[in-house]
Amino acid sequence: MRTALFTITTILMLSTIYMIFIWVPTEHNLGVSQRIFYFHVPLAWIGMVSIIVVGVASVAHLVSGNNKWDALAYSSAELGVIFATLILVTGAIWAKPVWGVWWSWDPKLTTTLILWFIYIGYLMVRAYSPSGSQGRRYASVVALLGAIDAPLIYLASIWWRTAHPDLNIGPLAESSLDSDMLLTFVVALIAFTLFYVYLLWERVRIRRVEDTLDEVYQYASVSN
Amino acid sequence: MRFINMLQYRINKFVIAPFVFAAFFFLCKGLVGMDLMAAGPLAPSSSEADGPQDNLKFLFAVFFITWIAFFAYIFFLSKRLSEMKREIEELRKSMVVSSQE
Repeated sequence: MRTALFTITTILMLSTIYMIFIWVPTEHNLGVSQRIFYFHVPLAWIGMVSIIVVGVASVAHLVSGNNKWDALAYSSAELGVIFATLILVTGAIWAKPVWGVWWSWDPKLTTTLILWFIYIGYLMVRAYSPSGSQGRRYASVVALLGAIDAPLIYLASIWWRTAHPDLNIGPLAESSLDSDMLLTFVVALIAFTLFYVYLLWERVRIRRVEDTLDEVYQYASVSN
Repeated sequence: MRFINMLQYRINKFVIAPFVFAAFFFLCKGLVGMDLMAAGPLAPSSSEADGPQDNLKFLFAVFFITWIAFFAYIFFLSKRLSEMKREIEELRKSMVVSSQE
């Protein structure tokens, strides 16, 4: 199953790169820089999905007390930091040729930056809070705050005046992409989503091994 | 023993290498396909720098930063696995020593 997921992800990712750099037509107004869209938006999508996974897994952990949910939440948060960082970096790189500035305090950018801080906060709470269930509960509360931020990012371009274009994904999407661009976008979205699932799967496995090792060390220290 | 069995998992570096080469190949091929290599320098000093085709360096930057971040994370995971394997080996040795005593 894991090998199959890896293979499908690799094929789709290579297809995405082919489509972005060779197949998809160049947009007339934005030119080549519009192709950044096929990286930036899937990364943003994963950044938001990731924090929702952290929130849901945290609630499941609080309710059930099962550490496997905690492993899922922690792993997703770690991946979320990477994706959120990439959203901000790729967004800044795209903003420069299109808006003429690297950064503006646009509502969507600001709420995404808040999301990044929430991810960092979550991991810091995990690193510095007491080990065991208490630290996990503290972090779960931070994760729930982060989950609230995800819909804010999504709806920012509707609720506030923003330089961002219309939504291209989700229930409120009003995409004006032509068919080739839309196909490239959908393939990129699926490829990045599967890549996230694959990385999450592997990270959860490693996290559970880490937890088991911690238990062994704790048992050994109590025995001694 | 559960955690020891789980370490049979490995991130396959040999699969990643051709993936990087293939991505680079597509990237180079894409440049030729877009007739940008023939168009001259990527960042001309004249007013053409504002033209829609002259932002390729930004696309390059996004592509490489994204993949460098992903590979750095995979490297981190791989290193973490090695550390855990070493820790488990130490635990195994200490268990053998304590059982002999």
